[in-house]
Amino acid sequence: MLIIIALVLALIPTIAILWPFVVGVRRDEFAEDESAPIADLMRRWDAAVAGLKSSELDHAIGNLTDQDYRTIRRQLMTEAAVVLKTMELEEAEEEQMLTAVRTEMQAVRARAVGETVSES
Amino acid sequence: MIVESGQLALVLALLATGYAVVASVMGVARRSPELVMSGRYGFYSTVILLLVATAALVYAFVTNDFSVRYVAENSSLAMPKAYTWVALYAGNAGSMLFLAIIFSAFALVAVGTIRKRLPYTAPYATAIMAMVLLFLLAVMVFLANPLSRLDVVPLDGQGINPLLVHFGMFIHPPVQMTGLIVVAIPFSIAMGALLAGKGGNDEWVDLGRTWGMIAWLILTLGLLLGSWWAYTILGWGGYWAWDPVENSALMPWLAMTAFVHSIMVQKRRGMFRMWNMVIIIIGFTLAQLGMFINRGGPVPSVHSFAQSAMGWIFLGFMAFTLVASIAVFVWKVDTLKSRGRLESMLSRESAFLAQNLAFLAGAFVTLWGTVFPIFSETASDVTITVGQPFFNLVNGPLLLFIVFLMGVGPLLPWRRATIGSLIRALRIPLAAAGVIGLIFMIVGPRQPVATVAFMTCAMVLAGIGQEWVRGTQSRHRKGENYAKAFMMLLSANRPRYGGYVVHISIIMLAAGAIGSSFYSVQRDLVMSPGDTETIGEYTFTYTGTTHQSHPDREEDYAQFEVYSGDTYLGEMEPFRAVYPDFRVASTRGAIHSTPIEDFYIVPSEFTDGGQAVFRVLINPMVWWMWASGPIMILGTLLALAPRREPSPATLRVPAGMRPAGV
Repeated sequence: MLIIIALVLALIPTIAILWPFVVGVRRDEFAEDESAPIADLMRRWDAAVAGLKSSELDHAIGNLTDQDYRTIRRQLMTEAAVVLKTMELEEAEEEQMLTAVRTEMQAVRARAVGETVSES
Repeated sequence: MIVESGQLALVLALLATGYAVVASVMGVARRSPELVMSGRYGFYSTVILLLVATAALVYAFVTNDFSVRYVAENSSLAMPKAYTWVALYAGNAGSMLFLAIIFSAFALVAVGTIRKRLPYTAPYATAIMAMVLLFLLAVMVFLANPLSRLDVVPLDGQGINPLLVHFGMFIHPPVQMTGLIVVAIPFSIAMGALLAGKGGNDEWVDLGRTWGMIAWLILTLGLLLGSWWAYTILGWGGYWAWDPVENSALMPWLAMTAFVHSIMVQKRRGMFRMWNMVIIIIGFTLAQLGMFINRGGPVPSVHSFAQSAMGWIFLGFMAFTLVASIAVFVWKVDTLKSRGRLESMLSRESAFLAQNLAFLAGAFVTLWGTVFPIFSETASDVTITVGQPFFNLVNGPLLLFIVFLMGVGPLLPWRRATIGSLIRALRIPLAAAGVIGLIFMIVGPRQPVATVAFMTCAMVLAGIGQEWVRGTQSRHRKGENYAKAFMMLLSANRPRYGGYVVHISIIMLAAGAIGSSFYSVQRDLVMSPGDTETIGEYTFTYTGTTHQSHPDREEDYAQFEVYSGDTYLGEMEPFRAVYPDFRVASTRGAIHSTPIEDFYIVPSEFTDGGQAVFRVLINPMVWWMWASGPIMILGTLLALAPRREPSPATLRVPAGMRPAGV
């Protein structure tokens, strides 16, 4: 009986450990990088928006003078706008890259077809 | 057979955890998703295995299987079955199993959240958590197995320490141990990010803050419950004695309090990146020191949780993790440059920095006072114990300074403030402090330090009240009714207002500590049945004693009729129990508690003829300390409630608002 229990217990970590190798991994563990530019931009965006909300509240309740509020707001708006611009640039760059890949693929395909034709 | 199954489960858990360490590190080094996942699943499986081991130990307790050494040492036939839960962690080996099962369960949740949000950090963090669990399991398997058998089976067990047989033991030690071990989770996240080279862009900050606050809350509740237990149950007459075991729980709490504040600066400003790493290393080191002292370390304590040489093994692991953490920090320090900079000394981040330094100073003063006996013994063969006056003298002003910063800091905006705006923000809080000072000068007992301390508390409360009122009014001016405006204010700024709620609970705690420290009245009385005494407003008559004999103890209950002025408060019944087998006596105080003050009677000694010695205390405002707990939980949960800022995809900055050139 003890042997059966021992086998059952040993099966628990064994199955757990072997599972990814037997069944396979559905998605790449490293598909998303927390340091990816977009993730960093999102964090900067969150911080800027939180800062804007906080400074607005501080201004409304009198903890910030008008002048300080304007200065801080300008800084945070600049940060938010820089984030937005960078994101747009990233989107544009991505689009540009995809277009380049598509063009390259077409060229490869065309070359492959041409070679096949010439061989026949 | 069940016990052997538990033993086997422990060995398998050890192997699975070891595999988790290796597979996680190798998996991330080779960029092998299968290996990383395999390591993680192996780590997950330890929860089931540890549950099996725990169930086996519980079974041994319930069936009085005294062939198991731990059961024989920590239970007896007379022990009520309900105390099986207490006995489970009453000794060293059992407490290790308790730590392991609790940590594996928390780590399971933590790894589950980390892997989704920090995929590159997760394998390293998993490996670090697995190393902590590996240490606990290795100690159990090789040195202190809670399921090991005895060669000769006794007919009855030794029984549980009588001081531990109380409802308080059901909650305080497990909460305290959980708090200490859960500090390993934010530490693992921070170190994991550093090892993954992801510490420089604040990737880990959100999860680090969340787990830091969870650890902080559990540590706080552990401290509060410990104080409550000492005060209401053990009949010490007080709630804090600067005992090494108490200090060992306070030190990581101080470090983690500093951490949960400074991590906000990193989140908001991209600053303090190195500082936060340093604090979390200190926090985890102090948490391990707490476990070391709890396990019979070399520092003399009136209530070490379990006496053994195992403390030294904890010290060795603490030294290893400290050296390894410092090495990783030095190796990766270049990745931790701050994005922002301190723009003004008058800003919230500056206040956080000052408060951080004060917290750490408090932690190191406490550490110095706690370990001083070791140094004195090493240097001169004489053990010099540092007493309460040292801690009160040094930590008292530090804690008061922290409370002061708690009042000023939130009134300062991020980035910068001006003297004018600070004065404007402080007008009402300072006026409130002045009013309290005036009241104390006119009607209160004149204790200058206590007066200043209460004035500081009043300043903090008025500052918070002012923020709430002005914030609500601000929203009300935009058309919301007051109730909605207040609720929306809390909802829209959860970390800030959750923090305020926690600050209110800290002020309640501080008020209780100040009131009872400075205005407590204490008298030791020898009374015979029929004697009546008066202290302050209270008149009490000792009517007699009832004696009860139990198989394991002799109990003496003293009966008192108590009046406050002309108002009859009822009968109070403190008691003293003597456990001859353990040569231990325990007392239970009787307390009449109100928000204003506690009337507290505890017996010291009963003599023949019904005469007895009693310690009678009037402790002002202690009630507020215990009431602060639920408010603290509420505030922490509010601060932790998730809320993501609207994404740039849904909220665009209007083109006209963009600065030129962007």
